Amino acid sequence: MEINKINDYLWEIPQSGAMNVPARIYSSDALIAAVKKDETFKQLVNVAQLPGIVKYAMAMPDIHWGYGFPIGGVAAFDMENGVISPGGVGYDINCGVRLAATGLDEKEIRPRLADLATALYQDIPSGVGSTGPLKLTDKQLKKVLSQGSPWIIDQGYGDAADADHTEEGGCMANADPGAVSNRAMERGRRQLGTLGSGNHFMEIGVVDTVYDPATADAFGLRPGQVTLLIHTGSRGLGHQVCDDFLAAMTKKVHQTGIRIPDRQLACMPINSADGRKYYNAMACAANFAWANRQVLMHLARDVFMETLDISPRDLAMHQVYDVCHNIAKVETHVIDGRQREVCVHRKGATRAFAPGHPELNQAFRDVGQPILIPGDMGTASYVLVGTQQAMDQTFGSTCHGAGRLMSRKAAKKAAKGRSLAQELEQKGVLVSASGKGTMAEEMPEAYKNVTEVVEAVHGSGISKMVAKLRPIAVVKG
Amino acid sequence: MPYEVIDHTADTGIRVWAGTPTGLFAEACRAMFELITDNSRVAPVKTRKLFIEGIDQTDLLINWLRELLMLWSADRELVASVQISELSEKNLRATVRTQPFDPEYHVIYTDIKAVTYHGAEIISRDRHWETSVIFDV
Repeated sequence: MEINKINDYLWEIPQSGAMNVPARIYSSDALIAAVKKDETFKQLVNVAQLPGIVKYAMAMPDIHWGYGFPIGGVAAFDMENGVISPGGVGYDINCGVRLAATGLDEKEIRPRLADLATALYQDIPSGVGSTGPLKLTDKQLKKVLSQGSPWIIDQGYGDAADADHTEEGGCMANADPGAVSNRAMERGRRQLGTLGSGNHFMEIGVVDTVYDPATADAFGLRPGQVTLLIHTGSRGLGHQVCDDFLAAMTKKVHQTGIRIPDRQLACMPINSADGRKYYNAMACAANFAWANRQVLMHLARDVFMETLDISPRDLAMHQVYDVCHNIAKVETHVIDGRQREVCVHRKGATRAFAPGHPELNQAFRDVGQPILIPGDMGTASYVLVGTQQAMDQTFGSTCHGAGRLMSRKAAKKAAKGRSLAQELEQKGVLVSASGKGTMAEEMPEAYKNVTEVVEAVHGSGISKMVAKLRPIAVVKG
Repeated sequence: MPYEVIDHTADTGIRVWAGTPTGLFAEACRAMFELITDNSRVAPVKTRKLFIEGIDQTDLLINWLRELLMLWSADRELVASVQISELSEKNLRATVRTQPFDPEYHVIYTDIKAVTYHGAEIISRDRHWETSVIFDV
């Protein structure tokens, strides 16, 4: 496969064969070598073959081998002749990250950190098959699906400011619970306010380094400050929505004459009844995920106050932002000099809107959108800000995390005979995980170096580094 | 062992093979649940009848695994055994024996969350049926 280096942070696979557009990979010399080994580029080339794709099939520096679409992929489709693909969003619809900052300093909580970590582990439902604190009626669940964070906040789970500091205000439009199957509803009913398993986590961190003081200040971040980071999504509900529509579209895509190079790329025209129905169901799952992270943050807030025996005023926990990294959205972008509506698929990629974007809330309109990049549990997480280059080049998108480097099997092998919890504790990170297998699969070495990933997007200009967070306690699902 | 685990970077998968299509479908089920749990601890307590449809044999296989996985992810039951009574290109009928999940007794190795279509294609030659299946974990 021909891959041409355009500059230090950008590579291109020229259009050939059945590709409708070229493919572009944002990366660095160090990162791209690891990707070349597997099927990732072939998957990107497959995406470039879908009808109505605009400009490029794009990959972020954390790209890795997925199924159908690669993870770390961005693709925008024309609203008239383009498609929407459940596989282009992923199973965990609106898997995302929420960051809250507190009024506490590291030195204030260090003496109580072990207690805090234990209490979080006990009170935050996590792991396989965990159930949440809410018993939702059918009517209430439908409210969650159609209204997302703002509704659950109205029920006492947070402050109105939390929703304001959330992508889309924590509620996507066009969410129609009627498009969601009963099975998906059943799976979601008992899971609101649960972390789940796999790579999901809740992390207490500290603002370690500030790169851009003015922007950090606008985001409410300062050195030494204690933070809370939540990484989870729409749980079984989102998985079921994806699964339902993949199966339905696999059946129907053949009748449309659209040729797909991989069954997992099953899709339908965006302007078809099936395409719209998926969008409406996906929006419900996205709203569920925002409500889920809202409930989790609320539970964590209570744990902090009870364990440290402090008032809400002393804790002063406020949401910095909440971003999703598995989603398809109808957005307006300037393409070849004119404004066009496109459906942007971000699968393992984060929105990165520039200063001045009309969709940003007032607090961030002038400074740009906060971007939250979780790393592995032993290293660091980053806060970035959106840029005009992202608007010009990547449909306002950037990376989403470290991206896996090792398979789960290889990670387990590498972890054999080691005490990962002890190793991490020596580095100053307390980790509680519901399964020993999870610890091994999610060990820091299994991931790409998140710093290299962030430096690549910073270097390319599609987002800028604002602050680095250092984990001090992690709860894994 | 008529299957092997595929080392996929982000997720996990199997390459499974058998001498008959029925064998392939049964082995794929066994492989999936061996990834999820210690099968030797799962007893056939409940009986369920499944009828599955697909647009072709590969679609049928994926739909079969999706329905079986649903027993775990939605109903919290582990599959002990399957008996496939009817299998054609597009239809399958089977009796599935399951046991409700007991967190005190059963062991969960990997919580498979979905069965993907990625790269799945049943290939047959002589008396050999084979495919890969990638799971979302």
